[in-house]
Amino acid sequence: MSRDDNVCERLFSYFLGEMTDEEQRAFHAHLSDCPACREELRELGQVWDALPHTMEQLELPERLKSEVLGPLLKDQAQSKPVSATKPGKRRYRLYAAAVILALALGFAGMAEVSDWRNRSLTHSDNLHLPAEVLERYSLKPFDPAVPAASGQVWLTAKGGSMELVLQTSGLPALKGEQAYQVWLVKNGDRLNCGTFRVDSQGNGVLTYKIEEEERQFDAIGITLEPDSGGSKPRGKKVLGT
Amino acid sequence: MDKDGGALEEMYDRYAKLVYSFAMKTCKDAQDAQFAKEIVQLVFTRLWTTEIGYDSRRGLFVNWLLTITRNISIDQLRKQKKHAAVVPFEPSVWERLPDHLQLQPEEVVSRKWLKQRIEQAYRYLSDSQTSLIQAFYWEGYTLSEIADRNGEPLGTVKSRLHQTLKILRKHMKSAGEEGIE
Repeated sequence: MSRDDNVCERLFSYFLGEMTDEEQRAFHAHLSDCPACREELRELGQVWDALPHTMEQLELPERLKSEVLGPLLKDQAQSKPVSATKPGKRRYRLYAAAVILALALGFAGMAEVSDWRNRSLTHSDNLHLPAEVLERYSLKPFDPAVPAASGQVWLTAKGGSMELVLQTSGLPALKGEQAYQVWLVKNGDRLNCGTFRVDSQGNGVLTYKIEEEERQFDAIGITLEPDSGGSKPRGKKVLGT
Repeated sequence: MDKDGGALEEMYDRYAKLVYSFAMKTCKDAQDAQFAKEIVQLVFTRLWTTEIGYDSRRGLFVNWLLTITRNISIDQLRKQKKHAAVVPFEPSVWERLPDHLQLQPEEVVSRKWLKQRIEQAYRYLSDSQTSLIQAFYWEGYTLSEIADRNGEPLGTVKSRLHQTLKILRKHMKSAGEEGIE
């Protein structure tokens, strides 16, 4: 059946949505039998879904939220005016508090946790929100030339967002343009989280705003870089989880 | 979708920036904030009013949302430019697949990882390949229109698009997937 040879080649047409309903049905039958086509379709879909991410993320105009949501929500029986107090964020904070309680049952010695009950849950101004600690990591020295280096990383939640807060000590002083750089490692990829410098005691601090999906990292690493302009590690790893 | 105003608001807080930024990129020469605001309005109105919702078996919510955003953006763009024929709302390939052919969903990867990877992969594209993505994906021209504009056969343009996506995919495989380190 020489027509079979051509069927796989029609995959791209299918992907572009060019087929008639009948052609689609026939192609679906082919897909049931062809793992190679299913795999290529999956990969094409992944690239397609990745294309938007070359876009620059822009700040929203201020009044847009009320302009967009106002007309939609005004007919709701129990609607409240869309206000700057963001009731939705309160829901997130309750969730974060529940996570912390769950962690507290397993984690001893998280001093911040014992306070959460006393925190008022009516605050909604982001500036006054206390940070809740969700997880903590210790950093160990990785470079035999720098055995006294150490550090800690805390994953904190504040309002609707999360931050990694990193603190080091015992790192050698930097020369010239050098900087320490922080990386999140996942599947061999390294995500740049920024650079920091240290004081005379080798103390350094860095905070990094982190997205929910980024929490699934394999490790954290800190390297000594020749300057702060790198997008891939160039220097030696001095600290890590 | 449940008529839950709190949920809509959370969705706005989480995703409106993406929708706005996407819409701005589709009109890149004009950088038209008014256009982008209209798109946000249209997308969230659609989320709120439609019965046809998101099915998690079809992949990540954010991808579904961006597909809707792209379709609405291109629809508006074409109306404004008064193209000869307005391209109708196209369901994505995932929505056309019958249930028994569900493909493995991709793992959740953070946007920053993805952005880094795709920007690196973009460097392997030729000028004609990047212009093709710009015209087809971002500006909503059909492959026929692009072929006419370039004075090329449609088949050539289609092949170029296929090739472009394959090159990007090849260079986006993570270091881990390729067995490096």
